[in-house]
Amino acid sequence: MILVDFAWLIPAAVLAALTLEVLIYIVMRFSRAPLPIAASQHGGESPDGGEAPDAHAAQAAQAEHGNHSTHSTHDDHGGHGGSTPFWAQLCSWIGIAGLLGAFGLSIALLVEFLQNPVVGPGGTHLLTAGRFIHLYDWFNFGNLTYPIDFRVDSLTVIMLVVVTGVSLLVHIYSTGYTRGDPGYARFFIELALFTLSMLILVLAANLLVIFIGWELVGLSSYLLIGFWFYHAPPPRGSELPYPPPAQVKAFVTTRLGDFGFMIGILILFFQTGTFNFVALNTATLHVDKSLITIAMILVFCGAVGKSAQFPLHTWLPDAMAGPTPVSALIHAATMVAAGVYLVARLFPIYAQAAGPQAFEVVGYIGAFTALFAATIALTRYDIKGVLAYSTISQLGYMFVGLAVGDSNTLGMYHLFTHAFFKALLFLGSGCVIHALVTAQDAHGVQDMRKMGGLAKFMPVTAICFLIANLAISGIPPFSGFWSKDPIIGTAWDKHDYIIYGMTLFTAFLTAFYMFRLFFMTFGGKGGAFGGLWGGRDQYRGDAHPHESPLSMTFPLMVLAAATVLIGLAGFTGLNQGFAWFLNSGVNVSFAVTPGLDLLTLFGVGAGVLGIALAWLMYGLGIVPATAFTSNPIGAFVHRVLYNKYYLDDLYALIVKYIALGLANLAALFDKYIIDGIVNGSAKAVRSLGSLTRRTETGKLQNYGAALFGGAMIILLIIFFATGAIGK
Amino acid sequence: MHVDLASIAFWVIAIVLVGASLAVVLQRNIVHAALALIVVFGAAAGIYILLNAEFIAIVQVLIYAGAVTILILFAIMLTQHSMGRNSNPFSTQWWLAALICILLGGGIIYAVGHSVMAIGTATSPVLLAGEGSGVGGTVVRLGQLLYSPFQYSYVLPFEIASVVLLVAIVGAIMIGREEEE
Amino acid sequence: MGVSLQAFLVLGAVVFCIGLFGALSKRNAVSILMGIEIMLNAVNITLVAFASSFLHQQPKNNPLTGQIFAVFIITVAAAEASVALAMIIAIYRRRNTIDVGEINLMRW
Repeated sequence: MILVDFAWLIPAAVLAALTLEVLIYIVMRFSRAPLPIAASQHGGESPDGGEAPDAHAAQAAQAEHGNHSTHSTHDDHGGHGGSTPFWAQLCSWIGIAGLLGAFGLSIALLVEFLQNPVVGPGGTHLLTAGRFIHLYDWFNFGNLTYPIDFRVDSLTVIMLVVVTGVSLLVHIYSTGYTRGDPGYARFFIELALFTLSMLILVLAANLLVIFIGWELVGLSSYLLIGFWFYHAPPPRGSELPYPPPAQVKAFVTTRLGDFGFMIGILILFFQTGTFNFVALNTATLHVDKSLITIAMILVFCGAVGKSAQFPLHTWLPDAMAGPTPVSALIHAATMVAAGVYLVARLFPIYAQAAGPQAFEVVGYIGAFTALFAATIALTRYDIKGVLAYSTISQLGYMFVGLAVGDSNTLGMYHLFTHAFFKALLFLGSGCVIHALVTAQDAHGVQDMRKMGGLAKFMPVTAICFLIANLAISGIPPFSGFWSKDPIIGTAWDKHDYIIYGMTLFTAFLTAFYMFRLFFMTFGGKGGAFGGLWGGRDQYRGDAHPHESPLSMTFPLMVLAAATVLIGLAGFTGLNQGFAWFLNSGVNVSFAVTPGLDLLTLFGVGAGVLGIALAWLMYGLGIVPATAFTSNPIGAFVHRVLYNKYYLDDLYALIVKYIALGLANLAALFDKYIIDGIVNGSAKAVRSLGSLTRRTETGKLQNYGAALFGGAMIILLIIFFATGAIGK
Repeated sequence: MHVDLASIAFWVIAIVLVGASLAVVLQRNIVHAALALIVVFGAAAGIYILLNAEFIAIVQVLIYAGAVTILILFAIMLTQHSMGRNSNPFSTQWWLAALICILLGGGIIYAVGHSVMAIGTATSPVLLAGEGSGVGGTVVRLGQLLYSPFQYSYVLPFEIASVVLLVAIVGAIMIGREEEE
Repeated sequence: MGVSLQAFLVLGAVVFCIGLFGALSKRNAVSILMGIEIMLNAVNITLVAFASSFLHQQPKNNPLTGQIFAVFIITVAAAEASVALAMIIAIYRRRNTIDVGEINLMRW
């Protein structure tokens, strides 16, 4: 009996927290006023009142106060006016406590795995064997069993640490970010559900359980993206997504991929008779290679949907409609990581059982998505929009890493580092949005054109953001360098020059758009350090920016520290250790160890070039941004990019004309064939009735005629039957 | 074919009976039809006498030819605006009624001639009036069967029939009388 | 011995059908009643003929069932005729007609 056998306590802790929160919520909700649903009398202004009936008035007064007062730095309630009742705060505390327990257990598990005790007979080490936890059999069907099992191995442990860690920080951050929101308690319930779903997903020992977790993640992301479902829709032409359609879009789009995933699972199951990952690794070796290739590509379809790869990426930018902590959670640790985790989990099947085409598909889609999303990110003005496309781009990197690597280490290491700096970026942007609450934008300004020079107002946020920016740009010694550069380098080493070119160019674009974001938000022409550290003069909006409360900056600092520490630890060979750990104690080296060779130079150089270009354009203002868009070709490219390659419009057209056309056909079928049968039978009976009704004349003689006519017929029948007539 | 008095009487009465029945049905004047009905009843009484059922014949004359016919004539008198021609019209479904009646009658006659059940008895002779000396009519025997309280008889149904008649009288009075406002 | 039971039965059938035709095809209610009376008489003829047939086989202590039946039929027919005529008169008083084509209270 060792600690790892109690790994089920991790989701159980979250589940317990979730249950308690739901109970409190159910009990307390009855005494609360309903949510302030956006109504027409509010006009364009989105209502965001508190629980109290006079919250609107209070908020309006607060906004007024903010407009006339010059020092509103203590106004850390932001646009989320109203107070948070005690019972709602209790929900958040319970959630944090549960997550704290889960995180502690995860760390303890990590430590135990690092100690690597002997667990099995014959001196098997824990790291090599992993640990199998059978929970129960869902049902038995003939001699097929459908078990609900957990399995803990090094991959799971890493994911557990990442998920619980990021989720814990997001919980802490959310206590500040959603303070005073009318849905405060509901928010923490949905966060806990989201975390629980992801924990089930990463603990899964077979495809059945992973699919359950997969769908639960989809459900909870649906709930969280639409958390502000009662907000008024954004004005026309805005880049901002509107929550209700965004949540449906996320749900439906990922469902398209899930369809392929499910077919893939079924192919694997029918070919091998098992869902279990370990059993599948060997079982699939004896099955037709091309079939496994098809199955694995189909499974990748699920990952494409969940991890927002081209062409199913469109839901992710819209998922920004959710509160910013949710965006951090979705994009860093949970939802989008699920696809990468799935491919990493099935890596042995991809690498050995399936043909090379499977990983070629993964690699090219990943590389293309990385480049594709990066180009769109160049044109975004919505701060969260840039980050959303950068997430898609980085997820593409992860898939490239999985596809070109000798093991799943490359992709997983980038997932690991990305989880921290992307969470940092999103939480930082949340601080910015939270700080910029005006009377017009009660939920905070997201348009970067209304920002600038914020570094002076919120230095902690700016520093943390800068660290994350350097990490995602692949600048040593930050963590992103150690995970991203090997991916690009391995692509070269594996002679995938197309992928290499795409990823390298993407690295340049990434650095450019990330620093474009930074300069537009925190810096500006005329700021300190050549525009990097902008001042109050550079601010273009009309809000009163302020630093966020400690509950919000603390997670930022933790994540920034993690980013720096992981980066610095790279010099001591952390990535090698990670590879060793992830490969069950077998020494697998990174194909490229970053060092002072030409490949690394190119990789870092692309990042530096991007930063330099952004500095020139937005920091120093030497090269105007219009230099690229003033000529016709540039303008055309800009328009295409700004409209996201018109993919959303294309999908809208497809839905409008093809899907709705088919639906209308089905409706016609329903109306005329199905309803026709139903109504037709009724009509037939009715017409039969009106026909036979005529016999009921009410005249005695007709009845008499029928009586004796019937007797006559019976008589004739008897004659015929006895053979009296017609012999 | 052996011709005797009974046969002649039967055929005469039968022809009169059928003819009078047709007259009842086909007469356009309802009063003429009612008068033909008396002939029908009389002819039927003749048949009963021919069949050694003297009591039935007398009752037939008394009740049918007497009472019922008078009732019918009174009803005609009370309900008819004019006693003229076409007071006894056919309905539109007369052809259907004719078809049914012809087929039904044909069926019954065919059954009488060919039925396995009837074949043994139908051709058997009947005891006609004047035959079977010593029988002395059936009136005494019928009286014993109907009224005798001491031997096997139909006295109880007979009494019930009298109750039915009483109820019918009361009912007829109730239905037929003027409604008081 | 010239007339067999069959002849009486055929006579009864013919008269019965004539009466039935009258009951089914006439519009005057009284006429319909007359048709019914003819039908009852036809049935009586048949019953009495059967009774006589059995009387021929068993002259002494014959149960005379046919004749008994005929007596009851006559009794009930008299009651029926009286009630039916009373109804006809009542209907006539209300509707001023006894044309059964216009009396359709039983219509759905």
